[in-house]
Amino acid sequence: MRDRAGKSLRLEEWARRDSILHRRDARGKILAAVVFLIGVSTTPPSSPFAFLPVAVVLACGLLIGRLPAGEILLRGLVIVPFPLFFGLVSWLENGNAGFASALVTRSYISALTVLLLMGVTPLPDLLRGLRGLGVPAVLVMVLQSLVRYLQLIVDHAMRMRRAASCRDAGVFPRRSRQSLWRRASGALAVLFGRSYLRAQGVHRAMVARGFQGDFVSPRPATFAAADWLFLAVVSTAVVLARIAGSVRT
Amino acid sequence: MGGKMKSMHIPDGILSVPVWASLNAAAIPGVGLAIHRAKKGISEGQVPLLGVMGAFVFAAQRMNFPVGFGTSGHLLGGALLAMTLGPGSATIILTSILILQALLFQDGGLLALGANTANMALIGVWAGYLPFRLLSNSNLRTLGVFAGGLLSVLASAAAAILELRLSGVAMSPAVIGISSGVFLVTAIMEGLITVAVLQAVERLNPGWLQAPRGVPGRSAGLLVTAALLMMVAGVLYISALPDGFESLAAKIGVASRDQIVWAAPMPDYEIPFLAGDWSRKAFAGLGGLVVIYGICLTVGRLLVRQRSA
Amino acid sequence: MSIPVIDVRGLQFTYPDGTPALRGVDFQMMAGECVALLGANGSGKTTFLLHLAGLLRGEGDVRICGLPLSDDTLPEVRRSVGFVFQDSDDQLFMPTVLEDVAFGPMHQGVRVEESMRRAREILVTLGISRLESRAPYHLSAGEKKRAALAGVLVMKPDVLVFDEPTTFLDPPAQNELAKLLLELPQAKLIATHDIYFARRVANRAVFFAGGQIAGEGPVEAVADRFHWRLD
Repeated sequence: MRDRAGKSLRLEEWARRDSILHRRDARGKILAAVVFLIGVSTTPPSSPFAFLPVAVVLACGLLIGRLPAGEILLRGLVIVPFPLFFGLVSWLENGNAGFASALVTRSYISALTVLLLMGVTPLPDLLRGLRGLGVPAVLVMVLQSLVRYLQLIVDHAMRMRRAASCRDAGVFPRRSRQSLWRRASGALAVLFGRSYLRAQGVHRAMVARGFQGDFVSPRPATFAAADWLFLAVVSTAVVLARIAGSVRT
Repeated sequence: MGGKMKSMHIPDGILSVPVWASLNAAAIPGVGLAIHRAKKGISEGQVPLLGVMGAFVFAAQRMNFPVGFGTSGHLLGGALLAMTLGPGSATIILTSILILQALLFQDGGLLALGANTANMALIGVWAGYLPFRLLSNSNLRTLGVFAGGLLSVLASAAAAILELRLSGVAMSPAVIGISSGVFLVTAIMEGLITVAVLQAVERLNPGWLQAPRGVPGRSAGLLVTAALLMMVAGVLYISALPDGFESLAAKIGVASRDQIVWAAPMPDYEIPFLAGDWSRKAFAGLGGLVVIYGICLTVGRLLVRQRSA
Repeated sequence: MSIPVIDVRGLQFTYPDGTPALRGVDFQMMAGECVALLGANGSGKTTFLLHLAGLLRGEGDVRICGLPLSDDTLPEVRRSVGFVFQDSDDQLFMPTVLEDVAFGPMHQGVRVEESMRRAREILVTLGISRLESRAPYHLSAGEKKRAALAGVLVMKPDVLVFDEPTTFLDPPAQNELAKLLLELPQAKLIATHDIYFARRVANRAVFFAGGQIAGEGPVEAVADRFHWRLD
């Protein structure tokens, strides 16, 4: 978990930097990422170089966003086992190497795209952007409070684990599996209760400050000309890359 | 591989366009309905509760339960949430978790969000809830809880395998068999952990459970549970048949046609961007997605207006 | 004679599980006063405070600035009573400090831009405008308490209610908070175990025992009478 927390911290740090991409409206960046992902998803594996054009577009994004390319390329690798497994399985079954390697390439490029999006967009802005694109207010508020209380609850779980391992150090040299189960489920139940009470406290604080059941969300900023231009440029680049990628050589 | 297989968060780039597009089209109104129901049926205090419980699931997944043979498992949580907070709330929580996992940890893709939501937040939640609801007032309640945990994992996994097969991923019967074994072990774990945690929560404070516990339409529930079981069995069976899926997929017209082998290069240049059979289908799928998005937005606005009027 | 900011008569409350928490509390407080609420854990201090913001509803009469607490007056009462909770993490639930501070006015029908402007103004007043776009999770306990206070002050309350404000604070942060409280013109009611903090900020103390007010008077006198201090 510490590893995971570190990962999201790294994203936060990148997102606080400044570049042309950082300054774009979050809605535009989300749409651009989706357009790009659709481009990747529809590129047929007609040649080993089919994905080169979209990769070039992506590389431009990383460069313009002033993100550490090496680190992002490395981080994107976390998703490779999944497509690699199913690619290999599929290849062994029907001998179609092109399809198998397309799975891996597409997944990897798609993961890098999400990293690029998150690297140039702070999470709170991104969630507001989702609201602006029509995601229901309830879902966005749930996302916001999930993000807000995630670290708090995880820290709590960690403290409980530490306390538990201190308590029985050396006392039960051979703990039975049953007692371990009982302890783990008891700990989760306590954590469930703590979370429940935390939610009650939060709700109480919201009500005390005038919340009456309906959320008011700030009106999103206007979608500036520069944001339209950005979206148009990305879309054009994707279409061109997509055409270039499907030329069979 | 184990960790990935257990959770089955499908990344982008694996599902074919018709598959991910139609699953997005199915998941968006599905989640929308859950939100609408949740808004209507429960108190205003629910929003922070859903968020904090989402955080609880993240934390709970770090708590290890020993399985034996030096390995351990952990709670996935869909069934537990459905049983404690109700299926509508569970759907909203799991959808939020999937969105954050995709964004922050690249666990599952963005275009595949519809597929993952359908598998885990809709199918998994209802598969976990129905057996529980069905048996909740009888003396087989514990069995219902176990079956809920078990079925939620099995149904999610079966749906994921179905989607992969429809997308053209070939799997030999041996692979299907081994994966089914892994899923079965994970599912049994989920059932046992769900029973243990639910009982412990009830001992601490029964007031924390919010799900309605009345007697449901029993026959309807039985029917749905039976359908789920048959779906799981059916998917695994058809998946294991050689060519079972290719022919099925071709019949219902969702097979991905981009399986061009490199060893047979085309002699001439062509730009199949808007010409190919698959791309027409892809664009039809995307068009459908845009239409669904528009409908949901409009319906959502209308509902909001109605509420405030 | 002016109207008391808080006027409570015969307040009784029993929790749904049957535990009696308040057994007839009478309490008045005037504008400009700062009252410390002392008493053991479970003596009913927090339960009493929750009634002032209408978060719990018992039997008896509660008036805030002359306004009797009822369903109709609830929004106005909640604006008038600024509640600072013990755990700032409960109170700071929005993604950034600025959004959190603007939450109150925004949900009372103030326009979004105006809410944001008021929120920025308060942050400047409390000297924490640098925290504006920070996420609450990364703040120190002292900063969190200040941000929570900002979220309450932005509603222009007539009376501030604090539940154990010093719990998570280190001594320098407690010191800062005491200084800040002395500067704020609103009436203040502070439930606390910290007798030194109470002596520094409050000009009167009320002692709770068994869901009733067992005694009141100057902080020193109350502390002596109930042996309420470290030796």
